[in-house]
Amino acid sequence: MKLTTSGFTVWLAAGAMLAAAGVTHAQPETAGSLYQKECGTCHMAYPAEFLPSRSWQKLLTTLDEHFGENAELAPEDVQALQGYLEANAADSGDNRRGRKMLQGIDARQTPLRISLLPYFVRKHDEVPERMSIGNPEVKSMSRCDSCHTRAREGSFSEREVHIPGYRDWED
Amino acid sequence: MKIPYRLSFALLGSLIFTTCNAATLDDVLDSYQAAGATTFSAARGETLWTTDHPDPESPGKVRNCSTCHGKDLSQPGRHVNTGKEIEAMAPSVNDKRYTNAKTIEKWFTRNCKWVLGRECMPQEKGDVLSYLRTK
Repeated sequence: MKLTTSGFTVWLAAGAMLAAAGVTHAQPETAGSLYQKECGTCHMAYPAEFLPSRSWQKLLTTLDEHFGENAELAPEDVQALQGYLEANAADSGDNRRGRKMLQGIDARQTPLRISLLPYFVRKHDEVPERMSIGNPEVKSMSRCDSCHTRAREGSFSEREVHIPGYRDWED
Repeated sequence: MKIPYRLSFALLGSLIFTTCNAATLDDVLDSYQAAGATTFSAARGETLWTTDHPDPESPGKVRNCSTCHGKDLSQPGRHVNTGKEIEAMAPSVNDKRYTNAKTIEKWFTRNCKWVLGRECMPQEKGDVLSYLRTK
């Protein structure tokens, strides 16, 4: 009993001191969690496989003019994100969803807007504007998670779609 | 006798933890002074925070910090273009504010360029932080 108490006290103190030193994460930050943190602050962190490597490269080198916003990051973070996004891009390895996203995209093109990819446009062409960009709870096609309830986990199944203000999409 | 000793150790740790946020902000202010800034003024910071600057994208319109952060710093702001809610700037209601030096620099870089069209000087950043910490 005495051992347990002292052990607990030591852990409590150690925890408080680690927190004081700024070591609040139990695990080191991975490039994937850096991506979620830095890119997911202003919008959903889109799956890397939604764009080819050359697109991510272009986006990361133009963060000072990011769709009308300044989204600059520290150089070391840009570098870490580059590695992560290239390794997981639509054209990296054998990527089934990546290949779909690249349908109709010429190798000389560098698409920057996921919502303008032919595959994306085709998958959303049944959704009327009043439900999407005209819907005050959606506003923009860039906000995947407004309707795709599991978008943040990387899942975009039609069964999981719920358009705010409308009955379930499949009805 | 042993337990009070250990307890005091734990309490000391907690004390360091709770004063950590203020330490971060002070460290940041020190770094600005090391980079050439002199004494900081909350009044000057308030002036910088509230001064209008022409909006390069909409002639006749202006931008200032409250364009997105709102007039009441104890309330959340709203991004003028995307509509995204921005957590309150006042540390009195939002204890996550000014706890990470890198985050402070990231947003100064982005937002000074957006509002002023240039990066802020160490003196300006220190003045603004001195103003915001009083909120």
